Amino acid sequence: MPNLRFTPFIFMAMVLLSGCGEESREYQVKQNTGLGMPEESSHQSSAGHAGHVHRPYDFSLPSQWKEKPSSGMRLLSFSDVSGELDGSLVVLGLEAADLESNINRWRGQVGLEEISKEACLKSLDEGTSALGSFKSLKLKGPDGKGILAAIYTLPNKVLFAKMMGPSSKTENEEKNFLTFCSSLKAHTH
Amino acid sequence: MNSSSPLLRVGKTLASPKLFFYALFWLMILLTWGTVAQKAIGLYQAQERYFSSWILWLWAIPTPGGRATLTFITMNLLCKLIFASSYHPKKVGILITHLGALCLLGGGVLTAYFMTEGALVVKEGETSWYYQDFHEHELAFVGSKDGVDEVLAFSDESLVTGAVLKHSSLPLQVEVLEMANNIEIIRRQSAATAGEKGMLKNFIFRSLAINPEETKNMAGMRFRLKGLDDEQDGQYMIFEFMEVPQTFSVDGREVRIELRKRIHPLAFGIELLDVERQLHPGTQMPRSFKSEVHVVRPDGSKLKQTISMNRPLRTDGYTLFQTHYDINEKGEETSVLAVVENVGRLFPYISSIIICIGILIHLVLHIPSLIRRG
Amino acid sequence: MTSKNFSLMIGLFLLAFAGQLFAEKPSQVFESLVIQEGGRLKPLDTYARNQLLAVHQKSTIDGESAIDWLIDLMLEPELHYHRPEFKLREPELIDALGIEIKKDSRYAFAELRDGMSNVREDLHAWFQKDADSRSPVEDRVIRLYGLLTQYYQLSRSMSLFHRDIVIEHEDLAKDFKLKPGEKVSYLHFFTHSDQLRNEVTLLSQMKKESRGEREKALVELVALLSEKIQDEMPPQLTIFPPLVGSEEEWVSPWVLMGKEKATPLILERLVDLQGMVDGLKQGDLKAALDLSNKFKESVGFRPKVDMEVSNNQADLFYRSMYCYIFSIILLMVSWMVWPRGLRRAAFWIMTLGMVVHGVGIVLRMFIMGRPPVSTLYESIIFVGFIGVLICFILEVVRRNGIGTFCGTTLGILLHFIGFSYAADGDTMGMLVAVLDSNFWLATHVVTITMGYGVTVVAGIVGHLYLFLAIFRPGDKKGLQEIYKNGVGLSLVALLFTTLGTILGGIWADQSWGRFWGWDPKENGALLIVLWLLMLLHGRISGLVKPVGFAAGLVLGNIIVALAWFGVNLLAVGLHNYGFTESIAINLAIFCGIETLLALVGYAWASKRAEVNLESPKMTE
Repeated sequence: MPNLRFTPFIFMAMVLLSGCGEESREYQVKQNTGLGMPEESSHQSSAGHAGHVHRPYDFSLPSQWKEKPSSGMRLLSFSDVSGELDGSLVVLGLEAADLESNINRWRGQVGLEEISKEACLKSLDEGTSALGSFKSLKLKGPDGKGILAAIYTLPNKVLFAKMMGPSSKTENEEKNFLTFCSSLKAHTH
Repeated sequence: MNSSSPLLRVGKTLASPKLFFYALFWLMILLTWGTVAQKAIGLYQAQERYFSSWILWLWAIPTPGGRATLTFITMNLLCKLIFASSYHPKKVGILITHLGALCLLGGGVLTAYFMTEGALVVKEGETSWYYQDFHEHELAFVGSKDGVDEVLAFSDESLVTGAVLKHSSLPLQVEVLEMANNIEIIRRQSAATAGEKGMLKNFIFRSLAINPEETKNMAGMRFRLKGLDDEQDGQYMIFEFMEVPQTFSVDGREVRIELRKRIHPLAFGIELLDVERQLHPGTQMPRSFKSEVHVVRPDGSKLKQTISMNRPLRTDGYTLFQTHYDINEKGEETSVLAVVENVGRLFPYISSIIICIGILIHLVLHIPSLIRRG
Repeated sequence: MTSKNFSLMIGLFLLAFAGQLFAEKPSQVFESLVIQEGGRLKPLDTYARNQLLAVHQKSTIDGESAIDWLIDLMLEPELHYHRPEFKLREPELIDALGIEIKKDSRYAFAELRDGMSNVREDLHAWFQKDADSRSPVEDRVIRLYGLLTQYYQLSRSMSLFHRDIVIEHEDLAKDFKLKPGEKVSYLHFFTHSDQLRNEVTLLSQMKKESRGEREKALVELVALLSEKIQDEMPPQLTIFPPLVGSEEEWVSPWVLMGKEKATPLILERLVDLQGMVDGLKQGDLKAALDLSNKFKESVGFRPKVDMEVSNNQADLFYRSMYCYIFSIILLMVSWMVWPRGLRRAAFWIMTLGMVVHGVGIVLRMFIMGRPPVSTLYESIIFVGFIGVLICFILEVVRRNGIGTFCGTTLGILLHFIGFSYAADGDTMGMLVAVLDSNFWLATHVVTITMGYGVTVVAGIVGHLYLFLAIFRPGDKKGLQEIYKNGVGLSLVALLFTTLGTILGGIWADQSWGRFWGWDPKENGALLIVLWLLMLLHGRISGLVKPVGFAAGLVLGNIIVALAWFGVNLLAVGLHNYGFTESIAINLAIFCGIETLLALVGYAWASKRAEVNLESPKMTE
């Protein structure tokens, strides 16, 4: 019995000390298996990514274009045969969907001035792919820089395809670029 | 023991029913207040503020929160049982009831500290090997290999503004510059500096009030990375549900950093074969939910099980409940299962039996004298 | 009271019950047809009551029963559009529609429809708004719009049986097997739909010039029939079970015709219905009843429907309340004259009321196939019964009228509250998936409502103690007895409320994985347990004296009321105009009165106790 009398105080001590928790932990977890589109499912996707090996989109690169190592926000990096054009495929959330600001940003990158929203919309062409329709444009700056770009507005994200480099090269590769854009489709197993 | 030993005196004082009386009064006030508050701030927030807290701040005055009050009551009960209980046969009912109550409170302590619960979301045809906590966040460094994520995660408590997170297995450190539980992302007005990389180049976030509906909150963090190399070191911004994760190259391996609800890996996978929701005919009221699943083991073996409303699946110390059903425009059906792991699960069952036996015995012993005529 | 007089009284009561059972009435043709609504199969009688409640706030109108009203509405819609059947008591609503406000709050469909067309533009805009951002008036107008649509469609549900089509042209009539000038209904043309289709095809191939009188008559006929179909296929009268196996939704006559080809079974059922309508209109009750029985047999699916009709008509809860009222009147008279006899009579009448009350509950259980307490309405009825039962036991033991007094008061009060809830709609509704579990309904919900009942009885005993302590402070023995009763009751209440609360937690653990979630309903139940614990421990520690304990029991009533009704208000929010607002007001008034009685009682009784000797101390 005497030992039992300390119980309440031991209890208090334990409760008060319990505040100290662990700061970090290491573990392994298997990725979701069975379906092809981890991004399309709801918030689980944030743990379902597997890095650039498990890409959610399929496409066909025109002959002689090459894939390059990719990092950061790019899903894919590629270039033309000369290596002078830098191509990328990037996915962003819908907050990035504003056409006017994107177009003017690109214009700025090649040294062109900003234009109005109506002019932006007028400068776009339409194209289609298995992934959905896209809007494309071609820019050529005063000092020889050019951009080929395409914007896909999907249900809950925006996909950008872009190639940038000397405008002589962007002019040449325009057709290939559009073919590439049209080849985009959702990844299937 | 000396009858006037200080321990005994303290114990006896703490055992007084008067203390219980006042504690109950305060607990009732907390309960009422918290219940009314949850209309405005949501159930989870009200719970955190009034019932699970140690201190409830009333303007600048600290008052005992729900956890403190219940701990006090448990102490009071323990002392009563040890220092001041009467073993008179007529009081045996009370003694048993008190023991039952202690059992209930003990279970409550275990649940408060050790229970985890979260959601397992899985589409028909998919297999999921983890569930995500309902509330706790983590900052995870993830490297993937052969379909397995290797994760180093920093827990919720360590994600505070100003904290510096480092670990022996990572050659870098993360300094938390800003951490908020609910944010909105806005385009930058000013140009980014050289040190601001990733999404910070074009976007910034703004913290918002916490939404009473838990699922509508999106947490975000701005941090400074140091220790990798000049190109990658700098300031970054990440948030929950990022479409494209922020990745780094660490010693040649690709590591991505995610802010997410804490992931609890399971030793088994749940493969959803079919999920079904029936409505009462002619209405939109759900009548029954049911998921047919396989419990998949690492060696590949599968066990077929059914999980339905009021009939959960218990396996490996977890309990899985059918909670939601979803169907998207493509017709793909998703089942959401609540997963609970709780060592204290059985205590309420045991204690309810004990308490009721105790009250019954007490009643049987005393009701005749209380009800009898004159 | 002599046994002869007593038997006479009982006999009179039984006669009153039985009187209705034997006459043949027109309402019997349709009242026990089965209709599927709100996810369950119910008799048309119940459906009619609910519809009339929605329109007129009562289940009878001008002496007419709901089913009679409904059938009449469907058979003679035009007459009803100008009868002031809608009862609307919100002047802002009437104003918004630009209609003149009536003193008796009764409006006809036609004038309400005109009023609606006044606000048609705004209505469209209000529909687009989010439900939360609408003002109360906008909300009410939208709901009235829904009600008017429902009413209109319901009124046209049997238009296919109205004999209001006539073909004058001799040849055309003959081709459709009719006599010229014979009144026939739309159904007739459905049964001859192939022929009609052929005729129309031929007509369209004819040149306009070559059309003769017959063709002109045919054109008129087709126009008339098309006009009828404009009725938009009213979907409400879902009295036809699914013909295709797996679909579970029943269909109305119009929808049935629109969906299916004319199989012999469908035709037969429709023709039977036509016969029932004809029988009623022509006064040939026997024919109508025979066809009704044939129809019912053919449709089948009669899950205790007849029992439900009887239950509806028996109005058991009303009768039980009348017993309680009669009993309390007798009791009060017994305080002035003939105490023993009248007191006994009052007791037995209360007992009769209690039995009827109990039978009502058992019947509901049987009809719904569920334990007695699954909705708020049922909990009210059940707590009333438990309360009266406890007071019954109390009276048997004590025999001093206190039990009868408490029981009848409680019974009347709770029935009254129950009726206002019943007026809100179908009291035998289906339950959402998570609640649909008979085991837990039987254990947790029953236990906790019993707990409510006992706590409220304890509250009444608390009132009695305070009353006695104020007006007869010298009656030590009486005070001590009542005090002991109060303590005993509070212990029983503690048992039930604690057990009930824990069972609720276990149910939650079994269904959702957590025993306790600090949910308003859970918190409410816990509050009652904590309050009882507080009173009991206050007593033990000496902090609370008998007068305080009694006042505490009275305050317990407030906690029960808040846990029981207040929690629902919190969830729904006062945004819900009308019904919930009145509950909130009544709840506030009740709590206010009880608080006042408790405080005043406590202060006054304490003063009186001081003057007398020290109050009795209880030992355990």
